[in-house]
Amino acid sequence: MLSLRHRTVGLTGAVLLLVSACTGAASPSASAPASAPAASAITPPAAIAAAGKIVWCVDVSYPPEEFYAADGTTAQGSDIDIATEIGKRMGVGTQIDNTGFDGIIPALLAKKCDLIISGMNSTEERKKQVDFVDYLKVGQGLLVPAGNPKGIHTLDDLSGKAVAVQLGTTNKDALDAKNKELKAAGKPTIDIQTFQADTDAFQQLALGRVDAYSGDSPVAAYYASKPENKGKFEVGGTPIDPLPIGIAVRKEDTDLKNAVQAAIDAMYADGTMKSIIDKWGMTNAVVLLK
Amino acid sequence: MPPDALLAAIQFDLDFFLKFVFQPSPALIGGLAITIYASVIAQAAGVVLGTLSALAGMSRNPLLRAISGAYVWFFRGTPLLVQMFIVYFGTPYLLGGIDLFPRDVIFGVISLRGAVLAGIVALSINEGAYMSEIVRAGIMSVDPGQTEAAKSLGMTYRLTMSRIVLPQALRVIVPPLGNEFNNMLKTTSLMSIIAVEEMFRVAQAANSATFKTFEAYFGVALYYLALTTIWSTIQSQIERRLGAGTTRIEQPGVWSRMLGLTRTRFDRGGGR
Repeated sequence: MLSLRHRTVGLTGAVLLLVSACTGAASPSASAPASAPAASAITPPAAIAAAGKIVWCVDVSYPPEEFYAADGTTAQGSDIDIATEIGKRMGVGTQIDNTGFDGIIPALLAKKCDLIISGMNSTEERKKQVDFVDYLKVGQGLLVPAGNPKGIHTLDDLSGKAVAVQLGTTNKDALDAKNKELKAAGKPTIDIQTFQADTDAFQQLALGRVDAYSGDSPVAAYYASKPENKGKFEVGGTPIDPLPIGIAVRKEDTDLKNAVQAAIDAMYADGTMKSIIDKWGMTNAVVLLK
Repeated sequence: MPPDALLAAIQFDLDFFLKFVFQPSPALIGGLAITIYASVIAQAAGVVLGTLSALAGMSRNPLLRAISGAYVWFFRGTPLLVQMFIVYFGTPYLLGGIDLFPRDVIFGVISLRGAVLAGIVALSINEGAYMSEIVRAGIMSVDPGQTEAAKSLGMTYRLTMSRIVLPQALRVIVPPLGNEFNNMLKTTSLMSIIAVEEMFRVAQAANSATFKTFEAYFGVALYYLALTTIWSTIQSQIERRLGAGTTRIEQPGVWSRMLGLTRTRFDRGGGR
């Protein structure tokens, strides 16, 4: 069921402009990196250079960080732009492999891909398995129907109510932790409904089957701001302080980790990171690291 | 990789695994219960739907035949996973906001999760399409002379079916029916995709919390294996009883059946 769909990401016009503005190298597409030697200011590890591309595990169900364009096959979003930009700076192509979030670290460890970029919090638990290159800080948001009829602002307000969330996320962990607290206090627990795809979790709120959706704040804000959802939902509260999200790399791949870190640093230095965040309307929902 | 290096590379958290399997969490027990009752209800509903569809498909009424044909064609011809999404996420949009599967669905004293109900509905309808073909084959295996004899005795269609044809068809229907139920026990895992907390979803949650990927999935696989093994034992008992007095050779036992050790009738040298 967790099919791994392979595709190479095409650059959108906007990113193209942005990339050429920032690097001066106007390569027509990410799949032809050899024609853009000027962009490869960072030397990739030999294995990546030989493959000519970086394979990324991404759970493409988390707009605006990663989601499919209207054609249903082109992955897009801030993380996709960041991944493409990192490849560009190493002079290699970008391949996005759609991988369910709950199986994404096992997929990296099983070498199904080189790196993970998927709005993933670099938690202590995950750091036991993989290393991270942090690139942003992101908080969590609770999306509720417009007018917030049940008055949901914090996780405590969810006691006895139903919430939809994606499986394997820190959002789910936060709800589980809250449920333990509620149970210990003898209060009604939260009815946590978990979904494989984040978009299905949001769907559950849209159908009125749950009282709230829990996701990262950029994602919650994105769902609320979609034209077809205008006036239907609002962010009831942001219960969690912003936490770092990172690109996950296998612990032994230190060369790759250093190269990614260098690319991220360069993207912060020349304003590329901020441009990508602004482009996807995440300016108010994330915190830049620098 | 040399064998000893491979052995050294193996990471298996035996403590986690044993605890997962032998001290099951309340969530896993709950998942097991859902797996069992969803399988039983969906299979029973599938048998009823399949029998109705088979009778409709063999009737003289062309409309009934067309409905049965279209039903079997669509539900055998499309993936169950897709059907499940249509039922759970699609129907509220089709029905203009009327949600057949809200958070909790109440039938008198029984309260069921909407997602569980949607899962059972999808499984039942899908199973009915397969059962339709199985029941049809069973009915067709009964000698037409039986029906003619029943008619000549003045039996009605209903009486002929219920007393003469279906009981004899049962012997042909039961072995594949058992197979279908074996399949059903495993297919319920598809309900995980619509947030039903059945066994596989519980293992997924355990995996995403602990990253004990192999241990959790292998552990839950053993639970499914236990269910299907128990069912195989029951099934062979049922078949023995149904087959009593009609077959000359001994039915293979559960172990030989599972391990593929069935012998041909010839190496037994005839009847008993």
